[in-house]
Amino acid sequence: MFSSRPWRRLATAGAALALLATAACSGSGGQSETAANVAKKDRYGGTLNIGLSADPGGVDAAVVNQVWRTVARSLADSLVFYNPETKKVEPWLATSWTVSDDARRYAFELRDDVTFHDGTKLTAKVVKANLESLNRPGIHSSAKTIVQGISRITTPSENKVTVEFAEPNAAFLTSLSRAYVGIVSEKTAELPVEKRQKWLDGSGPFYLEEYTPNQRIVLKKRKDYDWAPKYFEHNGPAYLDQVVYKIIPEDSVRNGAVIGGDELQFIYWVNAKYVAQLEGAGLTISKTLNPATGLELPLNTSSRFLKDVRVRQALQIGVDREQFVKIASGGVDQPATGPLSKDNPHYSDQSRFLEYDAKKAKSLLEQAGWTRTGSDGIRRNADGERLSLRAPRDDAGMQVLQDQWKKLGIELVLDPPLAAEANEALLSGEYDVAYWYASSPDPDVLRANYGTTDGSDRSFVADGDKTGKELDKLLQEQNQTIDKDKRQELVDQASRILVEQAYEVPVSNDVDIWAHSPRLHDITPVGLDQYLINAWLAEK
Amino acid sequence: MARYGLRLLYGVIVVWGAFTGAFFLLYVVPGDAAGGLTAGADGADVKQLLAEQRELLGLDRPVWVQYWDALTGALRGDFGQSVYQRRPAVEVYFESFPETLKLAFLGLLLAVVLGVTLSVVIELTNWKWARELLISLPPVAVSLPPFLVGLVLLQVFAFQLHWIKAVGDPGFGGLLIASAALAVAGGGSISQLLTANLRGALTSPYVETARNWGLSRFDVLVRHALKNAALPVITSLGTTVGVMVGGTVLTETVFSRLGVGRLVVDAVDGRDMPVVLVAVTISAVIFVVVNLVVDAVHPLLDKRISWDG
Repeated sequence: MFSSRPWRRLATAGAALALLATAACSGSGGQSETAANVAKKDRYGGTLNIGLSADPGGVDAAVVNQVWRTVARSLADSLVFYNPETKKVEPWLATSWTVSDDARRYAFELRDDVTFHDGTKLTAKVVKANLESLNRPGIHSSAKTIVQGISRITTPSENKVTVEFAEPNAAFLTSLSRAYVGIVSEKTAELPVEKRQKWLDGSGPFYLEEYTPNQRIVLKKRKDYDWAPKYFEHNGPAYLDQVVYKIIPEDSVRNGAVIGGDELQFIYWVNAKYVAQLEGAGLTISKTLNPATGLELPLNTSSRFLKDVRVRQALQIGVDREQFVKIASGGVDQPATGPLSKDNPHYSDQSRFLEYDAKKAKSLLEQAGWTRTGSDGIRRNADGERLSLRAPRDDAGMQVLQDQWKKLGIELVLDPPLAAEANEALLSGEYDVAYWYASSPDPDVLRANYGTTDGSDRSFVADGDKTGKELDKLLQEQNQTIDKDKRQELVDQASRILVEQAYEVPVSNDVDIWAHSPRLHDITPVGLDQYLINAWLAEK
Repeated sequence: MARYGLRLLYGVIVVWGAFTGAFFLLYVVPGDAAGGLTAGADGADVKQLLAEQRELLGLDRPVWVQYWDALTGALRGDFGQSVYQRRPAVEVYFESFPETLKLAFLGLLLAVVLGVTLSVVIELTNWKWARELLISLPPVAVSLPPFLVGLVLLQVFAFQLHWIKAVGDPGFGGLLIASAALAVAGGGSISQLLTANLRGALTSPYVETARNWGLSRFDVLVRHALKNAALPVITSLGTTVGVMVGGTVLTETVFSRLGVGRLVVDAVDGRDMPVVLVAVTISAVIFVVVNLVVDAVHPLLDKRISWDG
């Protein structure tokens, strides 16, 4: 009897080979129903294995850009917590704070019971050292932009810290909730950048045990952790003993490892095309709306053809957003209804300027002088120039847009740069249509992207552009306004110009797809970030 | 001996040429490490971040200064720091190197065993249809992409049989399976070459003589014909080793193994000049050394070939 077993297994393997194209293996479902009843005290223990597609390049989000939503969030806590449900900033390491009416002065009161992994205590001095360490040469991440305008930091007492800005900065509080301003020990804050990249001592529920580039990152539970944000309703340390991030570059291997054999229990950012397969295998899929922008295309308003607002407006209403999300993401992403996502606390509905109207788009193009159509289906103006635009990205989404705009007689050439050249190419203004990804749950992302006096000027506003000047004024003002309603009004006005005058084309709002084993519970994303404090593993 | 010295000089020129070529190729392609470091910084004043990083990395210096620094540094064995990992590039490289070496050499060994066995079996097979079937295998093996073979092997041995871990299995089993993925194509090409050579050798007069001595078919084939037919195959191994060391990237990616292949591809994408230069220089040295060794082995196999010839 025993001798026949290897052959059975081989036969199974053979059958699996035949199914390789679909890789539809049967998963083991049915555990999740019973697991929900597991008492909190029985949730402790276990190692969570998470698959990452690439090495994040380091562990400290202050230094590297790719780690803040994952590893860094578990290692360091922030002063404040952004509650994705109420869309409000709540206490974390800071118990309370006051903001001056001119949005220039922030005073925080800190918890007095927080320690870092190296045993040192959280004090006002440590927070000061943290904020100062982010504003020095070599820090090349988003963290730097948060602290750049700080003019003075004072520590009136051991638990009180005051931050002052030269210019008003209404976005500061929300920004502080991000993992890239996670508070680390004073010793870590003072480390040179190259050391900080590989090591950090934070006050998070986990500490760094090992980081082997391109292989794995191992986190261990801190047994004395007891300061999770109220939102989690969690006292004491995390449930998991250990978290191991494994670097697995190949999609199908990552998917396979979470489906069978229990080698992984969680994977991030699953491409929508794999969802059916993973669901079929019994995995739990979570989908979260990105609170910032998603796929937004800044238009180069200084470029040859897009100087003309009518051409830009034609592009705006020439996008069939419903069709776009259906094709590009299998209906997972949401059609954009304004420059900010619906999950942003200052969301502004501009959908009436985003309705698909091919007829109107064509007539706008004709008014702009693009009357003749060549044998290639592309419009030409009186000088015989082809209406051809360049974009720095080539993926399923851009191909859908290429196809939609082609129907209007506009050619979109997809010419993507490599990661290492992308920033420079995008800043040079050589593209007509660009893309940008922003993730902050604050409307100030609009100023960061489209502001000209202070901001990145992604739509290349020309000197004589009066509407552009007005837009910039609104964008700067919203970051100087603390009053919620007044700020909303400014954001609404700016959003309207951005969309109606087509300084940008908001296309869709990203929905992040995460997949995990049915053994793993309570790992749903909180806003954008992954908090592992409540995550626990059921018995095999 | 003088001839050996001349070959060594050629070798040095090849290594220098590879170093210089890699430097300027990476320099002229658009983008640099400052761009890679700042990629993904959202909402930032990216222009200023770029300029600052460029200055810190010394990328704002004239290109010949950068080249001279890189070259003189390399001569001292100091290739500088990896831009992303912020530790010596040599250290980064030699951490992955043994893994790739193990993979490549076990792969080569398997390829030789696979190729030679197949060729011998082809020659010993009498049934015409079986023989035709076997002869058709090597071209198929050569054209199978390594990542496909790797994925199939993973599906069978990791996801179905659970003999190895799908993700970076540290044991010998994992190494063996990954090497096998690499060996299929190599074995195919060895077998193609060897089968053709065996055909030629088996019709030679000396084989006729051996047959007339009354030796068995196996003895004739393995003891006499194989030795002569192997010579071009060994020559080709010189390049196969280099190709394998350099080209393990797909296998390393599929099996999530640390390795030089992945390292170099990432370094080129990120414009991590020090890592690329270490990798190119060492690959060039390997190529030169292996080819020198292959040349040195020839006279041992065939007395007619000599260094002075």
